[in-house]
Amino acid sequence: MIEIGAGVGAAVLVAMLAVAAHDLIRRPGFRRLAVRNLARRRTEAVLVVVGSSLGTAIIASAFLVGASFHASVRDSARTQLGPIDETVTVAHLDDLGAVTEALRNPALAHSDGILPALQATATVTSGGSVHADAAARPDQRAEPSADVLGLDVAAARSFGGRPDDTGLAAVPGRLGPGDAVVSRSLADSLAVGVGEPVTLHAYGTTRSFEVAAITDPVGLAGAAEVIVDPDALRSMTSEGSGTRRVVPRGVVFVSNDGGVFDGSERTDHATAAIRARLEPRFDVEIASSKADLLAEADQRGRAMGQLFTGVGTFSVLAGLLLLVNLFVMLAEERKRELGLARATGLERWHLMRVFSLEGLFYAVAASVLGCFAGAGLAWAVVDSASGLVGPGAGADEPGRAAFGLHLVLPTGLLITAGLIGLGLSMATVWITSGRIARLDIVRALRDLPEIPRRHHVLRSSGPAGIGVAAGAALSLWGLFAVVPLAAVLGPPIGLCSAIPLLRPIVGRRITTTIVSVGTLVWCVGVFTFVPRITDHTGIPVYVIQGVVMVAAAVGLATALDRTWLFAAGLVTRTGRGLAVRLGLAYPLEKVFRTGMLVGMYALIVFTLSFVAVYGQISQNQTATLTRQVAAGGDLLVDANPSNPPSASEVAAVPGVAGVQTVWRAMPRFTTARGGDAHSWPASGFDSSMLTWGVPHLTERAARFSSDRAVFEALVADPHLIVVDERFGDTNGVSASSRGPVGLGATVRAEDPTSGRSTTYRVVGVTSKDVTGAGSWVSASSLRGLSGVGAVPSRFSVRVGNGTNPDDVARRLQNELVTNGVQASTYAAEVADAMSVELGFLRLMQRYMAIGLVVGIAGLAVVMVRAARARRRQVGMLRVIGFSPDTVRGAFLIEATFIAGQGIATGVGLGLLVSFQMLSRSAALGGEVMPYAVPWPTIGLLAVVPFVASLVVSLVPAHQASSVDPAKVLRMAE
Amino acid sequence: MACASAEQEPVTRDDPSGPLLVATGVRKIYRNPAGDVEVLRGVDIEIHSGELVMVMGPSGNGKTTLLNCLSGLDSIDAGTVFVDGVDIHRMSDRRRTRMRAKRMGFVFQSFNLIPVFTALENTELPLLCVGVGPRQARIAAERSLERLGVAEKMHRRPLELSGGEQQRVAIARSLVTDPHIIWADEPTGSLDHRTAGEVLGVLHEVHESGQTLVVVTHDRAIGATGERLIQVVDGAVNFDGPPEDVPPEPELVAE
Repeated sequence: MIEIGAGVGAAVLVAMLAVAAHDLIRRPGFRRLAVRNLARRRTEAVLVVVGSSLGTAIIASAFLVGASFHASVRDSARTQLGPIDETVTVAHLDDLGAVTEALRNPALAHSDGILPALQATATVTSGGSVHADAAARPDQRAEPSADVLGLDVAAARSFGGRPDDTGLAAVPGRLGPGDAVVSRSLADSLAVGVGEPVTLHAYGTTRSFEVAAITDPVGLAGAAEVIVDPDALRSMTSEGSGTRRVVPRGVVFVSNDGGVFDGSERTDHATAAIRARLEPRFDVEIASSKADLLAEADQRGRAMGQLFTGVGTFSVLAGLLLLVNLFVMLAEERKRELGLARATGLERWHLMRVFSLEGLFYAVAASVLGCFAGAGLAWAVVDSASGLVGPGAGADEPGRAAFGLHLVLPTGLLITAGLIGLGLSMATVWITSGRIARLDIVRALRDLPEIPRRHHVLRSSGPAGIGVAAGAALSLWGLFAVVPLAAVLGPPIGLCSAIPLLRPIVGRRITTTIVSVGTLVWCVGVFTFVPRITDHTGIPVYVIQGVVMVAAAVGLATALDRTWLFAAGLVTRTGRGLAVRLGLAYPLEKVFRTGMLVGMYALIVFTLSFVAVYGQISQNQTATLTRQVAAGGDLLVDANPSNPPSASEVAAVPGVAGVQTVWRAMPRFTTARGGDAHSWPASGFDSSMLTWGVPHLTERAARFSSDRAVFEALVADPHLIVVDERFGDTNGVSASSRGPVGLGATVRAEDPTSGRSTTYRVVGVTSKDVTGAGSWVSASSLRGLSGVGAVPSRFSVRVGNGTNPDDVARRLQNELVTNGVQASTYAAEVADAMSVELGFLRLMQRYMAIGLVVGIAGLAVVMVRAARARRRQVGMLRVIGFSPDTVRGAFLIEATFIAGQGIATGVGLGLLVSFQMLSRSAALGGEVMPYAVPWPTIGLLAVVPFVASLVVSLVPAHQASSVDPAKVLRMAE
Repeated sequence: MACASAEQEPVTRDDPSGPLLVATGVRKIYRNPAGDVEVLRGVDIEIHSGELVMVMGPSGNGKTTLLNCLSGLDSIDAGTVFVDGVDIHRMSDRRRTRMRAKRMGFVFQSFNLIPVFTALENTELPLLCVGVGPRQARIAAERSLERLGVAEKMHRRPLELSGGEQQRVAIARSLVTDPHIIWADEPTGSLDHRTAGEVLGVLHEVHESGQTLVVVTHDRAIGATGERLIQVVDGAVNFDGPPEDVPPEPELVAE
């Protein structure tokens, strides 16, 4: 569908450009007319180009942001995998050698490397040893949880046949048992250099290494933060005490023929060949690491591109409205000229071509400028977003990996964006030119207004009737089949289709009022009239509903001209009142122009208000969410799973009043509907957790009277599970979009190491899993499933009365540094999670605010042109006694009236629609949030564009008020 | 932000009971990059209350400029213009604007009605501008339109009226403040003969009611209908007297 649309769009653009090129070369008269008009008003031409370029800028920036996400995630293939195409994880570490041998002999087809390795997690500290007393090691730095790879560096260098791709080319010789290769980021964080000692803490033991090399994040060197000799790592495991902990994983990396990126093209064949060779004999898990990562890159790039394109659509729309407005104004200014051109033999079609030729100059310049502006905009977005997706951001979120975001500027994409912008601008100009060219020659020559065309009732009644019927059918379908979008749009479509039927009977004003009010009433009340559709209504439907309401509100505003004039008449007692009256007269007379401008403002302010309310309500959830997540605890303590402390060690830290242990594992889950298994965190708890409280559930099976009852049932029944709402979400595709994994669903969990499996039934659902719990089962069930893979590496801690939780958190980290303990308050965890979400919302707001620039630029152009077009009228007003202040005031009132109407409409509808959405459950995953308006933000949203509109109108208002009446009237006479 | 407000004390003549307008030594120079052009060369004129003065002359000889300078629309380079005993060119722009609003009415060749207002609204504008309440302004505007015979079209926009009707509305607007003097610059220039005659008749009726009128025209026939004719040639008053005494000039005859 998209391809067809793109093809049609391209064909139309080519056709428009062909006509323009023909006229440019073969029609010197057309060319002269178009160029002369450009040259005549240079400043305005610049304003038109700048205003029009914003649409292209938005399209280009959306494309570039998508491409940057795509390229950045894709670049992870180079920085984190290098030659690794497939990863074979062995269930039993002892099988590692045999599996490696099985893959090497005979050689795998299309493979250029087989490399065994050990994967582990350890706490790394700077220096050779750790003082027991935290105060005695003020300069010692620690990384609580670092990825460690046990690797034969000499073999690794030749893995895949391209040493540079491994990132280890510069690492000298072989690693001795006391040598370690450290990533540059870890070296910086620990402040260590080559030849200096670092200490690894894992498996209940500690070992010092000397930094043999520091590597950049490329290939194998980027796959871990520390690389040591595999035997050294293996020996640490055997040295440790018998505490329950994660053991190193044995993996075999496979490199396919080809380079870093094209090797993944053979992944299907390679995976099949590996499976065929290993699965009958060994218990292994085979992952297409590179192909999966590249697929994620595609998906994320597409998702972000679509997100920013979607968000930017409002601004693009505003830009197009501006273009329509400008050309209609141009035509009005040149009315006599156009009438004369028609009178002297120019056909309508010719007039359209002259206008479109002029438009082509604007559009081409705007497209080029827009591409540059888009690149700048994309840079700003990427710069802001890099803090939200980079390392450290959203680290607790299951299924999401952090990556380094950087801007890319593919020329092809910029050209495509420029051509789309050009096409949209040209199409707008052609359509507007068609409207302009339908002028009445005599009336144009006499500078009289066009008489509204009489629509043949009979001729238009057919299509109108079909439209009304279609609207009615859509409404019925929406209501009875519970399709919210159809239910929302059906009546407005029917009403709009009825316009040609109503207008001859009741006139324009009443028709517009009926249609606008009808649409508004329906959109406001639809969820009250038909409550059952609310359970199926998502955020996009609310946004579309809002856009329809904005259009209806603008229509209503244009039909209320008499009301405004009446109000203006009431305040005409003073000179100020006279300015008000004059200021309102023009925008109320120029319904089309005013409607376009009001629509531009209203659209953008509506979306901004909507997002602002959503952000505020999310922010307000912090306290509630903290309480729900904490379940009676004060601190969340995570330890290195390879070396966790015991609960008693945690409890021994001063300030700790109580400790609950949570077992952690990463089973592979499969839903009853089949499909690929996916790894997802599981948290195991025992009955002692229930003494403090339980995590909040947004849904629970009907037979349970409380959340607590659900968790009690989990302790009692090893086949019950509570999942989070994003259970199985990978690469940004939520499980729910693939089909619900909701209450009553059955999921199968398998331990990747032991191969043991069990079946669970979902009896509860959590939301906003900020701690990354993943899913909840009883500790005994998790231990039964994952064996040694279920590690008591998480603790919920209560602090003593009067003790500062932050102090206790710091103490825990200091005293249990060798266990890689990271402790923070639940409030801080929630705030971190919210800050990422709110950061994205703010980014969206800033992006959408560009549309306001379009609106304000549009208003500025309109006011500049108005000041010029009304010189004679202003001169006459000055003659009969209007002071310059009154004239200036009238112009400013006109500008602020338009901006104010748009802002008020946008804010009002934004608040209304967000209220509707937030007071209903379905759109926000079952959560009913208390409505709250961020008045300071809303105030800014109202005041900033209002003041900006006022400021940009000052110059034209001053120009208008400064006219010399004698001069302008003499010129006119 | 009133239409205009008092700002500085005007310069007044000793004898306020004298002529309505006294212009002495009025000079006006248009300064252009190509060179200065002296459009008015020391014009002396007196206009008395109730007079109907026709200002005639060939095109480009300074008739409109004279009207603009005498009414205070345009500045002068030398001389004085006293209206009601006050030198209007020594006033601030605000004060002059206010004086224009209260004491003068204007009629132009191309009507210059505000297209977004109805005939009634156009007519009441000058009253609103001088602070008359909306109700009184509306009543006065309706009366003025009635007097000019266009009351039945008072709710129409200018572009919905014929040229003659628009000029009648413009005259109604100029009369609505009961001004001391009305300036009409080629009031029939855009109208056909029959309509021009009608408008001229209206102006005479206005004059007969005691109104002072200064009409700029290049049409000798119209000029001849006045009580007094001022002929402007090359920026100077060539003749000032009864129309029947005006000397025949080749240019004027030709025109």
